[in-house]
Amino acid sequence: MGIAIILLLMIGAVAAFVCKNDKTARLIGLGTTLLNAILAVIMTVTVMNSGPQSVTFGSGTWAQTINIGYIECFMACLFGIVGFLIVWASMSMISHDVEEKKIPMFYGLVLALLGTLNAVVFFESLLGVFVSIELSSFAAAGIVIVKNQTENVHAGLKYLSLSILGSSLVLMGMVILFVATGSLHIGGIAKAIQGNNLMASKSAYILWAYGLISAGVAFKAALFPCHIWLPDAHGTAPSPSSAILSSLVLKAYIVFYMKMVFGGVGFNLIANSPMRMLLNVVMVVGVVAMIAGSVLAIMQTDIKRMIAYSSVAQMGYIFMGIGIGTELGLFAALFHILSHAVTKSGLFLVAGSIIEQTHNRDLNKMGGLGILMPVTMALFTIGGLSMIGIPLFVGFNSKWNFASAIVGSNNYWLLIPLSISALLNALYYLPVVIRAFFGQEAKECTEPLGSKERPIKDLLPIILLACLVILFGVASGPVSDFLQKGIEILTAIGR
Amino acid sequence: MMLNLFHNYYEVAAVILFSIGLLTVLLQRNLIKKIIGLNIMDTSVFLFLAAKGYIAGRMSPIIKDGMTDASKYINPIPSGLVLTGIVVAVSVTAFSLSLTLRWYQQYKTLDLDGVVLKNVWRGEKYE
Repeated sequence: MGIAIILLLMIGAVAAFVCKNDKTARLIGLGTTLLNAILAVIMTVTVMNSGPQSVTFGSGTWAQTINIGYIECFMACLFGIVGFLIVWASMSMISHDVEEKKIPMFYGLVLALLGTLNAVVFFESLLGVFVSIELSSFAAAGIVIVKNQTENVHAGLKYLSLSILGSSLVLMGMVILFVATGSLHIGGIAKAIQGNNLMASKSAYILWAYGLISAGVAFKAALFPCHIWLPDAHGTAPSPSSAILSSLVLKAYIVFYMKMVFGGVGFNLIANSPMRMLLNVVMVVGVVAMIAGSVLAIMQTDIKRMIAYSSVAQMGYIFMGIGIGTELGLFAALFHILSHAVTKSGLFLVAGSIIEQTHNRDLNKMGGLGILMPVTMALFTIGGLSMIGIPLFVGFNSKWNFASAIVGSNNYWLLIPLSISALLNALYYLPVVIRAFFGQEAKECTEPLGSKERPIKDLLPIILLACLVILFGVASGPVSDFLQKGIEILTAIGR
Repeated sequence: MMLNLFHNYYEVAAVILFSIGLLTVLLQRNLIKKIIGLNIMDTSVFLFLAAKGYIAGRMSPIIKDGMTDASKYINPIPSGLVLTGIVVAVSVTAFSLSLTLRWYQQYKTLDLDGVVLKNVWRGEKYE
């Protein structure tokens, strides 16, 4: 099933590339992502009924294994459903940003990107993961550059060079891990490290390997000091691309990192070995990213750049959860992946709608937008409130999870940056909302209510994303149980 | 300690090359030099891998004269990794060079930060 998803997306990508007509390309994009979402849900149901699946092709050390456990299903559903909603929303938005003759290319790149992201998450053998990571960086840089403006080339070059730098670091880490453990499979690495007690005899190798992998993933997933490509790339890309880049692309690398750290080393060794030191660094850097990302976001005047810097802050949360290094911390990080994906994709699509309708990306000129585009701004409000962490929205649940992980691991001081960061989030999302609905311009606005609104059928996918935000905010129980089971399977040795 | 460094000179060379490449990518402003840095990084990883896969006195892992005894050949997996890596590195280089070309045609410079697009974020360039 996992292979079917990857193949489907790749075939869709090729089909979109070769078709000349932009209408056909849109249909291929929409159809393939819908099928992908359905397949992902079917796969999840199968795994829930009959346990994790594993497919191997090839033999010996060359074997490429695809392991579908709970976490992989969770990510596949996320890629499938959020990807489908974003592609649906892009149907009406993309022609604003991308020339007509580049539209087949855009959909081809999006489908190829989703396929490679699925592959990054599914593959068990590091060789497959590495190749998928490289391919996904191409496709990700591609959907930034497809807009064909010089600032996009600038952002794309920056993104490409730093993300290739990240993959080289990851490759070096993988190689050292291979030399130390003699295995290229995450399961084999887990057996070598946990079973043969390599942490005692070869701790320097393993620390170096994980240090390099952490540095590489920090570049790829925009952890704070390595985030410099993110605001440019996410800010200049066409809005649907920004939504995909920030809600899905960053997450695939983080899940790979989680699989490497928690699947490879395991909770017990993390607590009592030099790995703890490394994860402490990850945790502290994550905390710095939480604060710094929000502070930088406050300083922005461009709406998409503000949302992009907010992504930097949210990545900090996820890395803090990983750095805590307990089951609760991992759970909080995984849940935040879901929460950030549904919220941030909605916010980017809303920003795209605003820019498309008003031809303005300056936050200071957005007063009165609540009167001109009430539905769009209501969606922005939902996203903003979820990012701040107001109850009833999914952001609250993930903040709650982080707080309980912090308390559970006795790192009480982390509660201070957590709450400061929530306040900073409020500082840059609320002014936009307040100015749009209640500001002076809103009172003086003479135009009729909703005069610049996009048609509801174009806004429907964004409304569905907002519904997901509220749904997971009100009823997160099933997802939480699912993720708990996933963590158990992920950390079992020799899965 | 020093003796170890001397014995593992391949690995030492690979790590030094890797650091050179990393610093080149991060510190150089010229795009072509950045791409060269990326290539140096990749090559150093290949050197590291090839050195790790080599076993003194054995043949390359291509079956010759029907000899299938594994103890006569070196470890084939690192070599395979190197091959995969080379393919990826070549495509990375091609893609970044083509982007660099577009950048150069637009601004007649290879410096990515020199021409920083000053007006883009103020909304002036945007319609």
